[in-house]
Amino acid sequence: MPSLDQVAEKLVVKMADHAIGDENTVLATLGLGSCIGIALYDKFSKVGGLVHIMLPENPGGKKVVKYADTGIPFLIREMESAGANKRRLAAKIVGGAGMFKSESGDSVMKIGERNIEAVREVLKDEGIKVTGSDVGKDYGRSMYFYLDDGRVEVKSFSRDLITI
Amino acid sequence: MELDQTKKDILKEVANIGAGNAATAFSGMIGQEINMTVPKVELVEIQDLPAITGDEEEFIACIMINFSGEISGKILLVVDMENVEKMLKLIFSTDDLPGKEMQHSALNELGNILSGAYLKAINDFTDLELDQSVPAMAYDMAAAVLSSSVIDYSQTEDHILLLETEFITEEEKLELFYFFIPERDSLDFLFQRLVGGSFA
Repeated sequence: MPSLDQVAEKLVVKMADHAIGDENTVLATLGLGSCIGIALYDKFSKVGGLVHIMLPENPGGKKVVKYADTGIPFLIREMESAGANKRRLAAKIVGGAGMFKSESGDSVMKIGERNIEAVREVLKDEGIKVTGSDVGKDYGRSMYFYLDDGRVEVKSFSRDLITI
Repeated sequence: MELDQTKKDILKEVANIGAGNAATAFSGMIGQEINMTVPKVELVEIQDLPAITGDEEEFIACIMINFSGEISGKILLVVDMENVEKMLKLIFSTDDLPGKEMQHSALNELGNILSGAYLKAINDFTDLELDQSVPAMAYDMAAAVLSSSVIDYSQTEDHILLLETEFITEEEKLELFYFFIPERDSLDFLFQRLVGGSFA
C-alpha cells in the first residue's frame, strides 16, 4: 500500500464539488461537518469517484453536485464514462455530523442527519451497497480515498485515524 | 446578487457602527484595549467559506448567534484554539482556568455580549427591531464548523454575504474574527431603510 506521499496524484475535492480518478489517485476532502463525502469505487477497473454534497435535495436548477439527490446520480454517470461499471460500484460515506450545540448540549441543526438519510436513500435507489461508513455524531472529519484498493481513511481531532 | 459601491458603503457603515460598539463591550469584558480592522464586505462563494479564516483543518472555536426581527441573519465569532485559551485567561483574570463547563458558559456569554452590542448599535442607527437567539457553539476543524454554520442559507444560494471585522487585543495580539451575515431577503429591506432614511 503506497502512502499519501508516494501516490502520483492527490486531488482535493471542495464542498459542492466532485472528482474522479484511477488507481494512482487519492481523492481527499477536508473538514466535513454536516456535509457528506460519498466515495464510489469499482474494484475491477479501479475507477473511483468522490462527491462532497452539502444538502439532501436539489430545489431544481441548482448546481447538481451540491445535493445528494442530483450529485450521486451525476457522479455515477461520470464514472461510467470513465470506464466504471455501475453494477460493481460500492459506496463509503463520511460526514453528516451535527457540529453546533446549544449550552444545554443539544444539537441545533439537523441537516447532518437529513443528509445521511438522503444519501442512504439515493444509494439504495441506485442499487449501490454501502460497504463502509463513518457518519453522524458531533465532530468534523477529513477523508482520504485511495483508488489503488478503495480504502478510505478518516481523520478527526482527538480521535485515532480509522480506515473503512 | 450584485453589490454596487453605494450598497457596499452602506454595509461597511453598518459593520463599522456595530463592530465599534462590540469592540467597546469586548474591551470592557477582558480589560484590554481592542484594535479593530476596517470592516470588509465580501460576497463569498460558499465553496470558499471553509478557508475564510485560514487553514481549513485548523482547530477553531465558533460561537453562532442567530438574529431575527425586521431583518434576520447570523453572527459568527471565530477564534483559533490557542487564542481561545488566552482569551479565557483574560475573561477569568487568571491563568488557572476553571472547568470546561464554566469555560463554555464564558464563551457563550462573550457571544451574547458582543452580538448584543453589535445589534444594539444597528438598532440605534436604523431603528430596526432585532432579537438574538441563545448562542450555539462548535469546536473543531475550521472547514467542518464554518461550512455547517451557514448550511441553512445554502439551499438556494451559492454565495454568502459577509461583513467581516477582526478584533485584535492591544497587548496580547489576540485575534477574533467577527462575521455578520444578513440573510439575503433582509438585505433589500436594510437598504430601503437606510437609503430611504436619514443615512442617504
